Amino acid sequence: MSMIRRLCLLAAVAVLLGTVGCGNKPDEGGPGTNDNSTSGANFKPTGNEGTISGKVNFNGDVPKAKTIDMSNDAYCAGKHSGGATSDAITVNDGKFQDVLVYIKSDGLSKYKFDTPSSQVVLDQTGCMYAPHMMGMMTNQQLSVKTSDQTNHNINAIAPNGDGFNEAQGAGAPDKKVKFAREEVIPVKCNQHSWMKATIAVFKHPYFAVTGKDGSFEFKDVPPGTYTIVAFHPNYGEKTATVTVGNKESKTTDFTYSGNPTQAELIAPSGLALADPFVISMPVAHHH
Amino acid sequence: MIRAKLSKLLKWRPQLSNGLHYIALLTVCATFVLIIAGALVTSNGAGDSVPDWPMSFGRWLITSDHFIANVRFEYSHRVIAGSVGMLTLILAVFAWLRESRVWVKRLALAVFGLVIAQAVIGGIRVHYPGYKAEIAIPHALVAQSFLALIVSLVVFTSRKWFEPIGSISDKPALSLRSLSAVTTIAILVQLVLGAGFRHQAFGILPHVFGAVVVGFLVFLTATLTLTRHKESYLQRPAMAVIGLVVVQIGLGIASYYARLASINDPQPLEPMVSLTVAHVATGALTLTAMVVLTLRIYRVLSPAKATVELASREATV
Repeated sequence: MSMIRRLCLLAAVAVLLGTVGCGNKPDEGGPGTNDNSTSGANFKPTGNEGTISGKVNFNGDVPKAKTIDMSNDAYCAGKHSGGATSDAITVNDGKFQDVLVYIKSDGLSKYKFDTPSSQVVLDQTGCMYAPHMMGMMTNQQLSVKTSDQTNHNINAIAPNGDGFNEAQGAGAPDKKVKFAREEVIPVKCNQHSWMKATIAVFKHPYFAVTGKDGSFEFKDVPPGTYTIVAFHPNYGEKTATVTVGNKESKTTDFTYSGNPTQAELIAPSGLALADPFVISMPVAHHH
Repeated sequence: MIRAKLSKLLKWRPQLSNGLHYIALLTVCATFVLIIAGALVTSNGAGDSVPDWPMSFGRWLITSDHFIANVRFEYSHRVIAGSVGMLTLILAVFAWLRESRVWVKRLALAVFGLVIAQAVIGGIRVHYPGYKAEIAIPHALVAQSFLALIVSLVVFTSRKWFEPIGSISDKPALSLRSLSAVTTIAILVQLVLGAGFRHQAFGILPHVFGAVVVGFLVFLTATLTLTRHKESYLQRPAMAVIGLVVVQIGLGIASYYARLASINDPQPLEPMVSLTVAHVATGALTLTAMVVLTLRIYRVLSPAKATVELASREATV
């Protein structure tokens, strides 16, 4: 956000004093508005598509997982009788888990991609988000559910006015929402301040979150030259340029090392972030 | 007889209203508690834990199953804020009925207006979570300004304020009247810079620069007060403000390093939370002491320029 915009907002607070009842969503581009269409034609596989795959590695000592204090909610603490620790930085035998890997959209601007009819699910279970790093396509349905018998609030801070902050108690219906633009959305539960997740929204289907083996794979990639981005909230991003020919399979690996370098979530390449001040800290898993 | 008593009661307009003084004092204490509660909300990342406003989860009084985790901080903040609002309303009504000085009445009304504005800004903050830094900064500014004005009312309604005090001339070189006013404003600005840093609107540098400026100004104001004037009426707040600034600088350094050390913690933890809250609270106390000192300086010291002119006229005569 530019300094000018921030100053304007500061000045606008006086004007806003009488407008609280107006609701909490700016008019611009609410859910369902689609501004992500490109000038290109709908993508139809020709049989010449290739594959890009690889692994995300982590060299050196892995930072020790931090302990989470859940004592402010007996339900949450009871779900982790052995104690809970952060799994923001999860490395298995040198393979880096939960890294977002994607193709930058500018290399795919001549195509339009159909929105999947399937929904993606973000669950609140054991007072943690599962998964805590996820990707989805624009206008795909996100369902935020709770499996917990305690209260949460879902605070999704989207850059284009698609954000929301709603309470979700035990047994409450799922929160269904769509995001219209490419963006990265930090999600927080402010009631349990250790609960943080990151949702990345893309115009195309070429994104993945690395699993335990640190691997990723994009199938049916149209021939061309692309920038591949690997992004981790605490370690930032790494990029690689890959050219895929007809029916080619290309491999590209990424390697991270050292201590976490970022305390704040920055916008990964090609994705908008609502508020550069939103801290994305580690999330938790239980033992 | 009852009618006569009632009439007498309604016509009662004392010059010195102790009741107003004590209500203002109670409001200052409640405001101090409110500022601590607000700091707890921010330091624990609880600002958006209750997504609706003015009600909380659709209710005015929430149930015990909602009063858990960070909601405890946010809801307590709302309840204390409501109490401060009620106290301020009582203060304004009391001032309107009992206070004879029109400007004090207007000040009490302005303070009530400010508390309403503050509540609305807090509500806007809840409704626009994406703009937390932009809205939280004016929220902090109004909070500290409100505190300063309520403290002013305490001073204006104090017994000492009505006692005849021999006029002491301020000195034209480094006028304490001007210096204390500038220092008070500098502390207010510094508190806002601190809020900006806490809400991540900007980095630490403006706040550090502000600390240097405020430290210098407070030291200068307090030292000049202590060396020029021996009245305990001025010496006490001068000593208080300089002591508070020393403590405040120490707390500031400690809370900053605690924040740096906790940067990869999964949640706000001790000692970062307590140090930050103590830093915010001491900041409010510093402002309080400086407002008292400034108003007392204005009460005791006559403007240097006017005195010089008067002396000049007397010499001519």
